[in-house]
Amino acid sequence: MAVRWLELSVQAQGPVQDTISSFLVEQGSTGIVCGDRSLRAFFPGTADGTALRPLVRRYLRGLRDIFPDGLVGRTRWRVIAEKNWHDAWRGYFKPQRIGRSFIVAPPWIRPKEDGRHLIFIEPAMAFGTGTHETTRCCLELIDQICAEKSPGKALDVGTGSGILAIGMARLGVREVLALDNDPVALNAARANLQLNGIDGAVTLSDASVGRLRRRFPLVVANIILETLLEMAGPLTRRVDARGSLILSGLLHDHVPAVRRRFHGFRLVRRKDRKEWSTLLLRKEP
Amino acid sequence: MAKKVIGEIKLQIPAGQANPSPPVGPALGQRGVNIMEFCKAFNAATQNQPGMIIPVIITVYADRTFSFVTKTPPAAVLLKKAAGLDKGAAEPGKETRGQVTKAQVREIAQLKMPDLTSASIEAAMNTVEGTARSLGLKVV
Repeated sequence: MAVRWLELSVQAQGPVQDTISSFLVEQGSTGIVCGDRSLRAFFPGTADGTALRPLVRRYLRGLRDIFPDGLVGRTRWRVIAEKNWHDAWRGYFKPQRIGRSFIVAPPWIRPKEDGRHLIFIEPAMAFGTGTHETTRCCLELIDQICAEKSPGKALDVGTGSGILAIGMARLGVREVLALDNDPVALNAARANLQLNGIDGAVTLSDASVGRLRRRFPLVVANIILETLLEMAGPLTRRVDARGSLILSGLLHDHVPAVRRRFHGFRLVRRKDRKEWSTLLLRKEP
Repeated sequence: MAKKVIGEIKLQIPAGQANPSPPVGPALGQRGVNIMEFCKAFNAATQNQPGMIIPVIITVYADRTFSFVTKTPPAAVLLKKAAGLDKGAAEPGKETRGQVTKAQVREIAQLKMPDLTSASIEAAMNTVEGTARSLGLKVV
């Protein structure tokens, strides 16, 4: 017989939510989902709640006198069947064809490559699964630059999951330095490099871009406006003369501020996708 | 990393014991969040608080990646610990199961201030005292 769960919804708001949660966990709930005006508790097993329902009723009745404004509505019980929750979330991830060269997939799917470079990314806590417009536009521009002439070396600032660094390595960039100040991102990027069999071509580091002394023919930074503006000086200095700089993580109306801050660059291409903009800039000699 | 938030999930789950069963599985699964990654990270972050119920806020971004922050345990849990109780009152307002001091209430109110909407420590203490009464605790 399949395992069933009993779900209890209580309409309650404010501090009384914590009090009710504590009581429901005492009664065997495995945890609580808290909303603004309600909470849901889950009880494992096949029982229909015959023993539990009167206990909850009596408890909530007593609570009304202490928190008259906290309990705002009725309780609701329903039985839910056990599902394979472990894997249910995976349905949200499908292989993504990006630009002319890439196909990005989660590691549990092996898509037909059709001559494209396959990038596996484990969706987790680090940004960059290939589904976001900024990631896609960055990969498309990297594809365009590498199709003209491989830059040989590249810098990826704020690498997140490592997707852009892996993309560059796949396109033959021999030396990619990928930076992130978040240890969670660096761990994720390390795992994704391993997943993709990339060794040697990509170096991960938590160094700040301001501490670097080398220059690169291609620099990519898919971050956020504030960070890009703060980093404008160091980022500019890391780009070779006539080198390329891809900036992303910008909303359309952020573009003028970014253009003003990044002196000495010519706009080569701008990609707008939904509310996001990605810029390909070339450094004037 | 351009991060656009598409949702927030608030849970209360036992420290070090997150697993794909409810509430974690259904709550995160319907947002496309990598459940095992969350469980591993949450359990690692809370392994030093065994037996505690930990409120956690999970932020889900547009590309289905996520981050989370844990909060201090609920006031009810802290009060039971202060009073040495395993369980609070089954019928609030009608039974007394123990007591806590005003100083303990103040300490818990101070700890919970960042999570409460109270404007002052006195207002936070009133809230905590209400929780104490609901648990069957006298404030002395």
